[in-house]
Amino acid sequence: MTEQRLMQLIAAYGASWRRWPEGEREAARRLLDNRPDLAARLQAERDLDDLMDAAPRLQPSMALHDQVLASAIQAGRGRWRQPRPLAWIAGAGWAAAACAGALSGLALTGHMTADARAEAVYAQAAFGAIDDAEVLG
Amino acid sequence: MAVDDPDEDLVRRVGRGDPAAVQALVARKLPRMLALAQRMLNDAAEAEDVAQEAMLRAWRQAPSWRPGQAKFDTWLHRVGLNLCYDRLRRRREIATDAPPDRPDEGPAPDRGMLAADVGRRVQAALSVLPDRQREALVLCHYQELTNIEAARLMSVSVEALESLLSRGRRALRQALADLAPGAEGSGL
Repeated sequence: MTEQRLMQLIAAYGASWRRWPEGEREAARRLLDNRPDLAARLQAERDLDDLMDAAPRLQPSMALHDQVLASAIQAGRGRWRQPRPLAWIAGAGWAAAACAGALSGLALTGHMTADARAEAVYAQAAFGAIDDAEVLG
Repeated sequence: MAVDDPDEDLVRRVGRGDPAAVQALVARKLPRMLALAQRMLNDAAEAEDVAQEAMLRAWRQAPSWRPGQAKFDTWLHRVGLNLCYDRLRRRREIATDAPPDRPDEGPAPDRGMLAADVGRRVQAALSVLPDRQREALVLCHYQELTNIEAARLMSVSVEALESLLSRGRRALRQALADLAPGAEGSGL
């Protein structure tokens, strides 16, 4: 590891050694430990890393999550093997739980709701005669 | 050489129609695809469309996925990037001579910048980088792909990737100079 290569790594990947190429990481860190004069340069790159990390990360909405699950059902029709009878029963149970939960206004967390919705969609796909809107509301 | 793919088992189960695997793959990949598209396109609605289309292609691909040749995550990034570039190309085709109205991204003169303002500034600066520089930064910094994966995805050498990364970071630093710690009005 040369100083020139270390500078290239910092300029390209920033101050966090976790982002440096795995094969060069240790050697670069060792060199850096012996070069306190590079601290200011490293700090400047760390500041830029911090700024970049301030950019917001969009999170999937529940609607998008549901649409993607529904698209899995559509894509799988006729291609995926049919679920086993026991899985159908389990799916039906989840569907019933999801519907009952919606009706009684149970305060499920978003994640639990997502699980129930997904299972409901699969149960609906297994039965075939129920419309998406009936299951998901 | 066979690649070690952490998604291999999950994709195999998705290909067999396992509902739990589908759920798990959505939880694992949808946020990544959405983040990729948002940072490439800087448009939430378009990012959602791209993420949804990429996941649809994943469902179609899963039953015939051949493990060992490429990581599923890398393949999915290729799909997502292609969809992003389709949209960027379409934007350029319909661009008029008059530049679109853009909100003023500068800091208000009478107050420090809030975290949300900083985030918007960074996203805006990222969005005006040359496409390839932005792609390199998005893949390596935000999506945390390895340099080899990113270079392969972009069909460039690792050296060329590092050049794009360096230029991209330099441009970002210049664009965001007023936000650097110690800069007047940075609020940091």
